[in-house]
This record gives sequence, structure tokens and C-alpha cells, in this order.
Amino acid sequence: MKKISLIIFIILTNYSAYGQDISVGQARVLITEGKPDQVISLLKDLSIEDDPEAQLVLGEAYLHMGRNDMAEQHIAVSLDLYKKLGNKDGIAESSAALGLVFWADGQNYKALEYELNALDQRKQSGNDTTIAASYNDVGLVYSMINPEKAREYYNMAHETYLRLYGDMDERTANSFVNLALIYRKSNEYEKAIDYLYNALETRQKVYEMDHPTIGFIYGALGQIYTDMDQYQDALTNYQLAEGIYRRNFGNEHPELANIYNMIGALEIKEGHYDEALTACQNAINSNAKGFESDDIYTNPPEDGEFFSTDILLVSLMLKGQALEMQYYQKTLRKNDLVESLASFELGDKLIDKSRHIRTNQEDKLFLSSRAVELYENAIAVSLGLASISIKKQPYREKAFYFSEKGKAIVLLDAINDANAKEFANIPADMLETEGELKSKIAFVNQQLVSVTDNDTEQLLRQLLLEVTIDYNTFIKKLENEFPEYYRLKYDVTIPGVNEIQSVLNDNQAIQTYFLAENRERLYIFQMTGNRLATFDVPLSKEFQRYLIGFRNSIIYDLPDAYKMTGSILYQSLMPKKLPETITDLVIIPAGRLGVTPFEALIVKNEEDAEYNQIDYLANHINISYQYSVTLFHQQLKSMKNTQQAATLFAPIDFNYQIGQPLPSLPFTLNEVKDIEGIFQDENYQYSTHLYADASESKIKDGVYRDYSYIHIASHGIVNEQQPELSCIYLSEDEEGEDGYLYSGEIYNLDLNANLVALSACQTGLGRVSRGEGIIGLSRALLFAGASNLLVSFWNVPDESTANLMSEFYNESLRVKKSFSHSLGDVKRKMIRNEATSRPYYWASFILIGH
Amino acid sequence: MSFNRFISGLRIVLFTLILGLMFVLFSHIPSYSQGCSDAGFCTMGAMKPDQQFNKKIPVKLRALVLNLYRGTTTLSPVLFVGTLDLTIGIGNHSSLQVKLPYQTVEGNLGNTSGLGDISLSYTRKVLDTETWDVAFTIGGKIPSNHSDLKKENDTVGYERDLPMYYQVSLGSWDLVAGGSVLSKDWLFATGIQIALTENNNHFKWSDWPDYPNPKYIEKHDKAAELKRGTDFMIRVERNFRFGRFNGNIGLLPIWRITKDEILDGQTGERIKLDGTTGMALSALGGIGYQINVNNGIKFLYGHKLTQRDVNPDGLTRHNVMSVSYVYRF
Repeated sequence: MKKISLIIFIILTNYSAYGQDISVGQARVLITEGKPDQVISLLKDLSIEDDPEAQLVLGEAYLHMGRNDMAEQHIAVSLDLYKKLGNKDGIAESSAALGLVFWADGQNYKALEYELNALDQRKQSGNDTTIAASYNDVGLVYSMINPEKAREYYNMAHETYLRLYGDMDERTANSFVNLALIYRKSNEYEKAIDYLYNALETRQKVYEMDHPTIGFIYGALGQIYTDMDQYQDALTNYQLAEGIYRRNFGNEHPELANIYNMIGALEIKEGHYDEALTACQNAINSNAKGFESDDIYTNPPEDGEFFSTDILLVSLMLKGQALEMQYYQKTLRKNDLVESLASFELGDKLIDKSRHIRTNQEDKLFLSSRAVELYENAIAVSLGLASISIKKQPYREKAFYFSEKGKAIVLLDAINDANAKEFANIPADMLETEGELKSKIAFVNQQLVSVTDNDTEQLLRQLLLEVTIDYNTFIKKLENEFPEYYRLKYDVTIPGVNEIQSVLNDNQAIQTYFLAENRERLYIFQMTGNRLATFDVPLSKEFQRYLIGFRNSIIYDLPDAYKMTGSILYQSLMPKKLPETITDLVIIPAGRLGVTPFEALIVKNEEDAEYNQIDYLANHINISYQYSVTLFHQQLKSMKNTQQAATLFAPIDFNYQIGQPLPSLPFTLNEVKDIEGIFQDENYQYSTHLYADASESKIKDGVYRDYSYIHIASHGIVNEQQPELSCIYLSEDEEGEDGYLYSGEIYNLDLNANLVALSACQTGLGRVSRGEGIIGLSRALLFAGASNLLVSFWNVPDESTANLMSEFYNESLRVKKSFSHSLGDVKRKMIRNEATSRPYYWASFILIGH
Repeated sequence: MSFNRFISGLRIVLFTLILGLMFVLFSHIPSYSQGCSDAGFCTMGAMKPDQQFNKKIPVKLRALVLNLYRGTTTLSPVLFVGTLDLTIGIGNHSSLQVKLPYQTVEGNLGNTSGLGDISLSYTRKVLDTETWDVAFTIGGKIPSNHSDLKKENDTVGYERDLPMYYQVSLGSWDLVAGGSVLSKDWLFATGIQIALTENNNHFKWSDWPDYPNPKYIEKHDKAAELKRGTDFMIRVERNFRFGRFNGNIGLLPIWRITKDEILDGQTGERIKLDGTTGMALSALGGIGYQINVNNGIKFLYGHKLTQRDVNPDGLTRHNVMSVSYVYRF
């Protein structure tokens, strides 16, 4: 987290890479001396609008000051100017600096795009020093998201610097520090300390003792001693760093705030809550411009100006934790919990702001996974307050709110964005341009993840960066020209409990789960039309193992293991029986619960029971799933597609020019024919696409807003590592489509379907993303406009799948039951039938929706 | 931080004042006796009322409780008891408790004071879950004397034992065992107390010819070399916990399941007394305030709903009012 100091090194290591006039030269010397404020004063008075180098240096000075907004502005101008001049070194330099700005802002994936691009450019120029600098930059960004990759790049930089400059050079010292940070992450503390002292020796010779880069080393040493539980050593080093930063930067600087955060974390670990709270308050004071308060119960206003939102978020998290712990370990003063919650609430607002400035999807997902930690704490404190308050409901509702904030917010944002475009009267041609850019990004991304040769990868990466910049510029333009779009886009509100309850039927209940991994708790919220109950369940160490075992025992037919895990999980996941009047339950899962079929949980375990005698949860209730209650609420409120139109796809045979041929699915022909008959009987307009006619281009031709039902009987594959490569197999066609309908392409479809049924294998799986749920085909289809989905958790024989699907449509269309009720009845029918009573046959398909 | 320390200091001063005020109040408000027919086991280990249950607050290994009460019996004696109750944890699941009461009695027949019976117990938590705790206690009561305190500064020319109402000890060695099931909201406890020995009290009506009202003397049941019957208790308590404040209401039936036994002064034989068995039922209510995780105060009120006909042990209380200061460390 010591970003500014790291930036100092990087800037310093690159300073000789290009020529400079006198004023720029002076500016760089001042940066080296840790006086960026003087650089800003110096360059502000010069006419530098058309000088890319001066713009770059000015941007770097702002970056050094923690003013990322100004840094981005000037470096982006520099990059544009270099592009116009065709100066490749300059382009690389500006790209690298811009990458650092994004990295400092916590936008790691976006930063990586710029840093990898700079590296590609520099490799072409063949300058080892600048290539090594890029290795460092890339390593730096990877250190936040992939430490192994970071180590790889840092090592390359280190070897290059050692070879070029020996071990007593600042650049080599810098690489020692970087490697030390990586060694710390892998708990190799002795090695990390050695490396840091090596770097310290060099820096003490090169700089004055008070140079910020030396402060950085003390801070890093403090962190290692904290990890090693050496309190006094850690504190001494932190205090040395604090002194250096204070003398260099004054009382307001993000790096100073960072050191205070580290002291706060150390004091919490030691149980010194008073000291921890003082440190957190100091951190907030150093980070919030113009805010100064020694009162630990005072926070800056949410619309205040902060050097670093990320660092402030850490301060608020630590403060909230310290107050909570102080309550339970010391004071029992309710106000401590109330103020703890206030810190988390402010943190929540900052997360929302941070989310709005992120444009890269992976960055948004990364932020969500970090935000979950805050929500976890906020829920715990809210429930703690509920337990000690006479009026419990307001705190339970707060806990519920935070649980919702930890669920699929990125998906909600994206849906909101799409809706905002629709309602903001943006002209069709502009929407078309936006769609084209999105398709282009999806296409390049898809190519990039599957490319194997380096040259093509470099080209694609460059192309991706350019298209992404174009897209972001276009969106900025939309936001400026259509204020209504801007307003609607960022107006994602979590509905209140009363609002949700008002749309619930008397027979409906929602059960939402929040996995608090750090606290090893499972928070469950059970909501009916008139009641919100909360449950705080301990997570056993075996919980994740039981989840995996439960699933595997179903797939591999291990009845004993299945009964054991199914029964234990039922106890944990269903802490209280629902009222008798409830017939439909909507599950909002979390983590791996998102790939767990709740229907197959065992209510009452009887050892000798055969599969058709087991007391499954499916016997008691109809179950459906959703990503979040907010999404469920939005969909219930939205207009249903009333058109009686359906389309059915079944390629049946799969012989691709590229890739492995897949086995034919002969039963899908019967399945589609049966379903077609039901649509016909119910007077639906329908189109059926079989064999070669079930092509990818057919599904992408843009008329799909008309269909209320879309049924695809095919193969599907989910790529958990790279969800964008998850796809549904359709037929190749002459229009150039390869037949693989990738998840990235599904996001760009424009659907308006009441139901999309993916009668294919494992279509409900995907990457389990903390705070966002399952990233796979289901998420893509929901975004594309499907209200309900029928997807599967594992491979099921196509014959039984065909029967299940036909029965489902029969119940839904002919008997006119809800989707949830229809699927529940079909499952109960299959349970009663000895041949299909094993959960393997009926529990795979789930309904996402209601 | 100095402000916080000031507030914290202020709280301790306020608390001391409140405690002092309670002490003064208890010394001057006449209350009806010391409460239920508890011979000691109702406040031991797993059987005691108002037990702490908060899984988020770290368990303190030691607790020191200072309990004070003043009471008036159905006859003239007025009691004042101060009890020092120390619990020491052994690991996470076991604890040792020792109770040291000091009692003074003032009545028409004289004044007494001295160390009461000492209770010792060992408690083991056998089930410690998120929602329920189950604990068992075994222990005993050691008599501090033989229940044979005499009237002081007597002028009749011979020594005479005071009735059991005036005795600071029950005079017997007792065995105690019990268990409890505790949740955030509920406490169910049960226990048994068996007197192993008889006392050495020899109060006789005939020793008090100088007392102007012989009928009053005869209201004190005979308890010559009394061996109390066995007591069996059940406690049902509903708790309400709100951060620093907590409250509880409960029922405490105590059955004496075997008859009390005394020495018949005329025949010289030991006889079992009719009317000494049966249930004594008390309703209890309490409130507590935690100043912080280390310090707290508790108030308890108990009202006897039914009692046994004959009570030679003198445990004939109509209500209990007590205040305790708890220090956990």
C-alpha cells in the first residue's frame, strides 16, 4: 500500500530515459529531492500545453503529491501529444506513468493494460534500462493481483539492473525492495529483511537520511515485524517512517496516512485500542484535505476531498474494527458500536464512489471482493447492535442492506447502465456505436485469452487498449451530453426491506446468505411478507469441504456421503423452518453456495432410506435462485414480456472446423419437438432451429427482444479461470460465426425473455467471485435481458434432461403454474419415480428467477 | 484519550457512589427476610442466577463478587450478610468457586456475628456451543461453627444456645451437586444439597424463662442437633440482555425431599419432624448493569410464593433483596 514511495522509485529509475530542457531537468531534480510541490509551481507558470515531456513531468509531480486526478489529466495529455508526434519512447513513458496513476488509484487491471503496452513498446526499442523499468512497473501492478507473476517480473528487473549497474545503485536497490515485498507476501521474512537492509544501505549513501524512499523501507520493515509479531520492532520502524514522511510532506499526505494505518493495524493486533483509534484518526486527518479532528468519533464528510480513497477506506475499516473490538473487549459502550457502524457506512459510500471511477470490469470485480470485507464487518456490527438494542429491526435492516451491497453490485451497475441508456433518450446511432465498440472489446478480449504467439498477443493487447480508450472516451461523451444518463447510471439504490416485502406474495420467502470468511460466520437473512429474521451461524472448518462433498456425492453416486453432507448442510443453511404458508423460496447464495442445489438438502436423515424415500428439501418447497434481492426486486417490478413467441435451438450434431468435435445429442431433437408441440397447443408463435440452422448468427441477429421464451438444447462449457471463454455450442455458419456463443458475446445480446432455458451441461457454473457471485453464462444472460433462466450444475444424460424439460414446459404453459412451481413439481415427480429419484437426475437443473 | 480516561474515572466514582447509596438504603429500608429457603446451593456454580452468556465477550478467568443484603425474618432477627465470592477459571471450561459470607444477626434474643458457612465448588462446562452451554457443578459447604452460638453477656447464670435464626452457620457439612443448561435467553438449572452431618444446636424453650413473652419463644422451631433433610432445586430463568443492561425473571422451587431430624430432649432419641418436607417456591427478578467488561453491578429480588409448614433450620425468608458488585479480571 505504500504507493507514493514506490512511485518515487519508479520515476527516479526512468528519469534518464529521455532528453529534457532546463526547466524539465530542474523539475526532475526537485522530484528526486522529494519536492514535487515546487515542481508544480515551477511548471505551472510555463507554457507547456504542447510539451509532452513537461506535461509528463508535471503529471508525475502530481502523482508524487497523491493528486491522482491531476496526474491522470496531465499524463493523458502527454500521451496524446507523443502519439501525435509518433514518439515511441514517449508513448511508452506516458503509458507507463498513466499505468502507475491507475495502479495508485486501485485500478490494477486497467493499469496492467497500460504497463504491458509500455513494456511491448520498450522491448521494440531495445533499451535494457527502460525494459527493466517496465518489468518493475508490471511487477508492481501484479503484486496486487498475482504475486507469483509479480515475482517473475521483479526478478527480471533485478537481474537486468544487477547486470547493468551492480548492487550499489538506486535502481538495484529499488528492485531489492520490490523483491522484499514479494518475499513478505510468501512469509519469507528473513530474506525480505536482508533485501530491505541491502536497499537501505544503498539509499543511505545515495540520499539524505530523511529522504522519503528511506521512510518507505522503514515502513516495509515495520510491516514484516508486524507479521512476525515483533511489536516493538514494528512500532519503532513505523515511527521512523512517520517522522521522515512528516518532515518531507507535512501533516497531510496519503503516505503518512498509510503509515498511520499500519500503526493502527499493529495496535489492534496488540489489543491497544486507544492507540489504534488515535492512529486511525491521524490517518484520516492526513488523508482528508482540510479536515482535522482528534475526536475519534468524528469522521470527515463523505463529499470531502481526499488524497486517496483507497487509503481512507483502510483507515475507516481499521477504525470500525478497533471500535467494535473496544466494545467487546473493554467498554461495552453502545456508542462504540454505533460509531463503528458509522465508519463502515462512510466506507460504503466511498466504495460506491470508487466503483464509479472504475471502467475495467476486472477492476470492478476486484473492488467488490475487497468491499466484501467491509460489508462483513458492517453486518457483524449491525447484528451486534440489534442484539443489544430494544428496537432491533432498524439494525437488522442495516445488516440486510450491507449484505445486499456485497452481492452482484457490478452486475446491477451494468444493468443499471444499460437501462440508463434506454431511458435517457440517447439517439439510436450513438447506441449503435456504443454497441459496436463493446462488441469489438469482447471480440479482442476473446482472441487475447486464447492467443498463443507473442507477436499476435502484443498486437491484440495494443488494439484492446486503443479500443478500450475509445470506448471510455465515448462513454464520457455520453455522460456529458446526456445528464439524465449520468444520473440514472449511478443511481443504484438498494430497496428497503418494506419495499421488498411489498412485492412478495404471501407464499413467497427469500433467504439470502452472506459468507463472512474472515470471521468464519455465515449470516442468513430470512424474509417473508411481514418478517425479517437474521441468523448468525458459525462456519465450521469443514463447511467448504461439505459443500464440495455434497455436490460430488450426488454426481458420483455416493449415498452415505450424500446423506451425511446433505443433512449437515441442511442444519447450517436452513436454521429455522419456514412458516407452513410459504411454498416458494428464493435463495440468494454466496460463494460456493452459488453452485449448490439446495433442493437436494436433506431435511431428515434416515440411514436406510432409498433415494425415493429421502426427505429432500425439494419435497417441501419450490426453490429458485437469484444473484441479489435487489435484482429479484427489480425483475418483479419490471414489465413482463407478454408476447406469445418462442424460439428453440438444437444443433444436435457438432462437427466444428476448429476445435474438437463433440458428441451428438440425439434426444435433444425429441426434446425440442415435444416443447414445440406445447407451444403450438398454447397458440405461441415459434421458430425452431435444428442442425445447421441452429447457428450462432441466428441467435445474434437482433430480433430476440420479441421472444418471451428461448430454449437452447445443446452442449455448454464453462471456463472457471476465464469466464469470458464459457460458451454455448451452436452451429457454424457461412456468415463467419464459429458456432461458439461466448459469454462475452452474450453480454451484447439484447433479450427480453421471460425464460431462457439452457438445456445443456454445467451452464449454471462459473468462476466464484467474492462479492459478485458466479461469473458465467447465467450472469451474462441476466445482463442481456433474461428474467428467468433454467440452467444446470452438472452433466445430465440427454434423455432425462429431455424429459425434465418437456415436463417443465407442460406444467408451466399448459397447467399455468409459475416457473418455480413447475420445476418443483417436475422434480417431485422425478423423485417419486425410482428410475430418476437419484438427485443426480433432478437436482442439476435450477431456476434462476422466480 | 485523556478525556476518555476522565470519563472512565468519573464512571467509577459514580459507580462507587451508587454502591454506597445502595448499601445505605439496604441498611435502613426494612425488608422481609433474606428470601428463599436456600441452604447455599442456589448460588453455587452452575445453579446460580443471572449467569453471563455472551460469546463475543472474552471469558475472564477470574471473577470477584461482593454481595450484600439485609433482611428481616418473620420473627424479630434482622440479618446483614456480606459475601465474598471468588471464581477462578482453570482453562477454558472449568472453574473453582469459593464463597465466604460474613453475617450479623440482631434480634430480641440477642446479637450474633461471624463467618458464615464456606462454600467450595468445582464447575465444568461440558458443552460449549454458540447457542447453548451445559455445565455441571460438584462441591460442598463447610460449617464455620456448630450452630451453637450462645447469648452474649447473659445474666441468667447459665449458657444457653440461641435459636437457628440467630446462627451464622447451619452447622453441617453438606454435599452439593447440580447442572445447568444456559442460552442467551434461558437458564435451566437443577441441583441437590445433602446435609452429611447434624449440627450441635441445643436451643430449648425452657432456657428462656426470663423472656416476657413465652409464646414468642415457642415460635422458634426446635432444632436440637438438627440434621436437615435433602434439598432438590430447579431454576427456570428467562434472561433479557441488552448490551450493558440485562434483566431476568425466574422461578425457583426447592423441594425438601427427606424430613429434618432432631434430638428429642425428653426421650433422648432422634426423631423425624413432620411438616419439614415439601416445596418452597420463590419468584425471582433481577437487573444488572455492566460498567464495562470488567465491572458490573446486579440487583436481585426474590419473593417466596409457598413455604414448608415447619422450618427448624430457620430458613424462612419471605423475600430476598440483594446487591452485588462483580469484578471480572
